[in-house]
Amino acid sequence: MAKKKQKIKVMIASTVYGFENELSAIVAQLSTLKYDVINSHHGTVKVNPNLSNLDNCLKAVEECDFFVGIIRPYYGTGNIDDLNITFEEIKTAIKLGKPYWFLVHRDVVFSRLLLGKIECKDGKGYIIKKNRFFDERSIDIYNHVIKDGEPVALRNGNWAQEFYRLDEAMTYIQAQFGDKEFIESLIKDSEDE
Amino acid sequence: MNNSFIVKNLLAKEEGTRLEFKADVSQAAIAKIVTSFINTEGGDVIIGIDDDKEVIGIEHAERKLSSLQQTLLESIKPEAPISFQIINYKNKDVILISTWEGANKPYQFKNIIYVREKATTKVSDVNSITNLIAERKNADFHWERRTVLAAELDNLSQTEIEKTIVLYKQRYTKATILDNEDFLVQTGLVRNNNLTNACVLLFASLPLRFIPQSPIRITVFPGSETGDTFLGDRLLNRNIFENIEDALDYLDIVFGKTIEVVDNLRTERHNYPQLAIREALMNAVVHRDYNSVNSFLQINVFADRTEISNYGTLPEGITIKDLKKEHNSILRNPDIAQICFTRRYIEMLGSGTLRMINDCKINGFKTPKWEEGDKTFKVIFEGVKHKNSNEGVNEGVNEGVKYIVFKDINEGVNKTLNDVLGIIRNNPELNTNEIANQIGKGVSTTERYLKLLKEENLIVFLGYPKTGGYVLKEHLDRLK
Repeated sequence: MAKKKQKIKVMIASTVYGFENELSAIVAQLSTLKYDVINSHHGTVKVNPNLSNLDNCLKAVEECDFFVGIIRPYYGTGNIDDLNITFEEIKTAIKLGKPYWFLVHRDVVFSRLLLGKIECKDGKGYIIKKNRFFDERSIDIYNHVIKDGEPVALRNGNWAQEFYRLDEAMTYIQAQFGDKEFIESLIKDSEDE
Repeated sequence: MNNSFIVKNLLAKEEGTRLEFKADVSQAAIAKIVTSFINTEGGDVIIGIDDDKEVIGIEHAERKLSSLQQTLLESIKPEAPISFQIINYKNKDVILISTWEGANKPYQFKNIIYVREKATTKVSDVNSITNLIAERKNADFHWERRTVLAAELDNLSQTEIEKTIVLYKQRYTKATILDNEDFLVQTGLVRNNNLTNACVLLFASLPLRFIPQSPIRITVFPGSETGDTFLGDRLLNRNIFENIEDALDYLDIVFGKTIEVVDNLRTERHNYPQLAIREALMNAVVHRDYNSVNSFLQINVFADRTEISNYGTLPEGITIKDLKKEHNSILRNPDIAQICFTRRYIEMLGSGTLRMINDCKINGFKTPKWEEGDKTFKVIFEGVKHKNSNEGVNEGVNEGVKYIVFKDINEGVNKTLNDVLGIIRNNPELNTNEIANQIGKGVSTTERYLKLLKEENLIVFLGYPKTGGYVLKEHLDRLK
């Protein structure tokens, strides 16, 4: 009997607040396309009781075949000792050289541009009041991904996509992952490196 | 209401895109079918019917429904409008699950997206996912989801949001809601920190400030035509829930009640098909096209009929003929509909027009008529009329006006007795002579009428015989 083909494992890293339904839709989209989706919010991260939440998530990054990071203006509550789980997952995926794709919310892209242009006359800088829709730390994640990550050569192609609505995110996922043979070849290339 | 007629209607049809019969409660199979309905055109599943359309019924239906309901509400994502009910049909319990077509596609059960193709439920393929994404995109561009840039959380009625959260938690028992803002974010009424049009219509303290076309108008005309004179005219300009309550309360007064008095026992009945009027109002609220400054929702009450009309025609693919049979319900304002469903202003999904017809029938009214204009839609209830065109339904006097039918007394005297009650209501503590003058009858006749009204416990005499007068018993009761 032929050995059952292993499903490709994709890890989705994202903050959740205000994005539950959208995140569920993206998880379902990839599951329906027959990928094995790993996402902590959907309880599909294997949990080793001897490891911390963060370590379990980072272990999941190690096990995945490719990685999708979603960077939103909301930074998230999954912070342990100043470490943000989503950010740590992203850093690990980049460090391990996993094939990765990023979806970046328009507000993060815009805020980065805007805040980069702000100069205060009194030289005291600015503060952003605590709120539920934007955390400037989300820009740190974005900066890490676009500036401090892997060398530019590895970031060929449309590896990051700005999005605003769910349909934009899903259209990108569909375009990137609808062709499974293409994904398989990418994973193979990355393993051969 | 007995909804067995719905089962009868559905059994006359064959399984298809919008209908499936199931013999037993197999939860996963039913969840997949329901998910596929929500992703396609909505529809109905009847459980307790075998492949030959034989009604076999479900034992312990209530217990099974409770468990099934929990599974469906927790596992189908995002939250979707699904209604559940047990209907006794031919002495057997069957379970009816109805859904609308969802407006937050794609919907999924246990992380898999299902779609309906004719009578088959199947896992979505690449093409159908692409179609669902396109439908989602269209839905997100709809007027309801556009943001009202000037509106802020402070402009909303926190009480109405809190009432909604209470009912939402009863449906989704595991939901965690941090606060009112969190609820609006979770339900998509606040998007990227902006309030949507739907949010403002549903919850703003004064939506008129942001959406001038939001009010409901009710006008009561003396005759059977519109004109310059009217008996009552109300512009309801609060949020949707307050407007619905205000409209129903006002209509209740305009149509009035009939009280039958037999041997001192009073029974009240509405002079109008309550469920049908409520359903028609909800249809207009949910289906009206708000996306124009010309948008309106107008209720006209005449001496011979009532008309509820709104801006916006029937959705493409639905005709007036379809309204008289089972049909796909295409929602123009799904976010508003979803919250109205949570608030239980919409109790059952689908079959709304059929239930209106049924309610009119069992209450002795004609079948409602629907008319579609160039940009408008209207439902007409013949025979559903205001209480009394001669005396007027004027605003002040109107409160609590009820026409009482005294058994075994001729119609003329019945009317005079009601006139006497009206006079006492508006002018408490008149004596017999004063009342006699007002009704134009002799004192002894008037005394007879007053005696009868006292015997029926409707009025009482207050004060000394020479200086006192009559008041309504209900006014006294209210003061207690």
